[in-house]
Amino acid sequence: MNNYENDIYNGQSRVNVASKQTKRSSLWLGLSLAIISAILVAFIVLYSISMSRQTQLKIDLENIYQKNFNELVDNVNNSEIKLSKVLASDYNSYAKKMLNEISKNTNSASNNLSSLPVSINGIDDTIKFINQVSGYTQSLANKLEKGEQLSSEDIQTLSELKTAFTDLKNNINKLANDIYNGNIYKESSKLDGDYNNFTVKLQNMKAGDVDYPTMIYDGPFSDSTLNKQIKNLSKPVVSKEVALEKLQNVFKSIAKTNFEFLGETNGKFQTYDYELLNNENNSIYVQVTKNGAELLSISCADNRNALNYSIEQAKEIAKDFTKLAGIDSMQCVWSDIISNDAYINLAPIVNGIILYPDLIKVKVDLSSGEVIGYEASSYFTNHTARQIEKAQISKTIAESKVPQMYQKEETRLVLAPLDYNREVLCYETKCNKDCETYYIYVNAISGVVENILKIIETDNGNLLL
Amino acid sequence: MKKRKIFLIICLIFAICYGSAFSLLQMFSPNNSESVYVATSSENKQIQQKLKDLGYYYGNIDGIIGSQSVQAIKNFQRDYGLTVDGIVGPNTLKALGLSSSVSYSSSDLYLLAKCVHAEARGEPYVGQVAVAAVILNRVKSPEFPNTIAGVIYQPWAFTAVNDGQINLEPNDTAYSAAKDALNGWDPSYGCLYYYNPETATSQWIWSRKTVVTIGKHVFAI
Repeated sequence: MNNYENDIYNGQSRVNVASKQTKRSSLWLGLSLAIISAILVAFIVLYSISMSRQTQLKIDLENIYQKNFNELVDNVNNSEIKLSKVLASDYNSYAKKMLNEISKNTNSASNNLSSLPVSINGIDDTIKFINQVSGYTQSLANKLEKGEQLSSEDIQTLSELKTAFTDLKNNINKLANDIYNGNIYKESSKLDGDYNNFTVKLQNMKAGDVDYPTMIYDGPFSDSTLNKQIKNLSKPVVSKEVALEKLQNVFKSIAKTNFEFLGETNGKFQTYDYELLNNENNSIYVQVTKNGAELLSISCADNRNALNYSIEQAKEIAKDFTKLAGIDSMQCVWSDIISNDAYINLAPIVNGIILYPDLIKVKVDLSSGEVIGYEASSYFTNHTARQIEKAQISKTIAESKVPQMYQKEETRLVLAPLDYNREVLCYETKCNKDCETYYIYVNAISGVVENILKIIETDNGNLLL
Repeated sequence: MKKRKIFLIICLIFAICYGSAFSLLQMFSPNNSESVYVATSSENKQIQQKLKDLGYYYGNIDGIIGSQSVQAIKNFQRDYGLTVDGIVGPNTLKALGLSSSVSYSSSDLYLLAKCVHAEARGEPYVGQVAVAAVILNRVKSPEFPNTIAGVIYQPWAFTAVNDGQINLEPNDTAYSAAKDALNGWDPSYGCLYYYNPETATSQWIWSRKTVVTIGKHVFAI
């Protein structure tokens, strides 16, 4: 081969190599483009699927909000109409029916309102108003149920409530069209200060400037129930050193170095708060009242070890502890074991009457026999020298009021906190029906069955319902 | 030949991408079988932990009930007068201080314990009782919904409900705290609010009257 041919040959092979290289690089380019586009397609598919899901969820949520808002408007409208019907009615049975319905409607309205995405504390006045109307109308219905009449004050309060309610109704209906067409979900996600846009809109539905009266009644959400006065803490305020000394006398087994002052509680009860470390190094939180250094509460986590103490021993431990804390003459009136702890309820017994409103609750750890819980706020709120009316009916008559189907076990005279602030002298009869335990309360003055409680046994101890 | 290879590779890449995309989607879907497995395993872990605390079990807390765990269960059953079968039934669970989570479903106690666990785990015991008490105080208050579920699920009422932590399984401490609150304990004496001053973002919360500080939480009316 001469040089010329050689050159041609070399040139051809170079061209071949170059074209091979170009082919290879274009292959790689193609391949990487394919990979990128495949990934892109995958992500677009994934993104669009997730977006369509999100849109679907938003629609579902909006539908729930709209359902609640529609029901809210209906419930408010119906309540207002029924309020005027009560005022226009002369018949007690009809008024009672209407009052019960208003109570149900307003209760539902409150449920609807709290299912809407309203910023917390944004429309609490409106929620309170609706809830109190529900509680008040229920208490009036109960009054009629007992055969009593509505007083002129009741009628006056009802008519003022009606005026306030009409305001609320008008405002909410003014808002309704805007909200029906709008998007609650969208508006609730935009914040305007502390409150979202939806809340700001709802603030306009307030019950106007009408001053609705303070509803004086014994029932749910009544101001009198909320602001219950403490009757039994009149001793003078002591220093935290005096309180500590008293505490150390109650917990004699704990070394004085293991008491630490944590701070104060300044609410309905004014207390000094301490943390104690017991011999197993468990932390016990104790609150002692500033007035008279009374032991008010103990809270401590349990360790759930083996059961070394019986419920009877626990009752004695609870009684002795209460005595040590300075409260005498308490008797065990109820006990239960819940996951290795004994819950003991103690109450004073005066002239043979168990005073249920003045309960002290004690929790005893059944492995160590130590008191790990104590709650005396009911005792200090309610315990006072009472003038209790004498029972008008005998125990035998009371037992005869218990329906025949119950097997009676035991009857005792009790002062029962029946609803809200009402303390009623009752005969409490423990009885059985179909292997289940019931407590039946018969009014010791009128002989009326006031309440029936049923014991429900659960994994977490017995419930009284 | 090469073109065919490239075609095959591209097909393979597509297949992998779609495969991973769908497995990702599977992960998002709520009904995957894995979560069920995790739940049982966590229950087993609880049992192993309890047996370990009581000195019956020395192995790892792995959620797998092997021969070592079965032996520990048998020893525990023997000591506590239960039927020695190595199977953790309702009685053994009760003796261990654990309860089958099924029996709690739909009860207020379970929901309350879940909320306490989500909102206040890591807080002192009394702080957990106080959180449960705040929820119950809201139920009684006219300004809030009238049921425990209503209060807990009220929009934006609790951070841990908003971010889904409410769905964590509560521990024993949370249950005890919830039980105490239902039994009438309220170390906050009627408080309706609590907040962590380090993380609170809302302005108005500072205007509430402080009643007591327990752990990291300020309780207010």
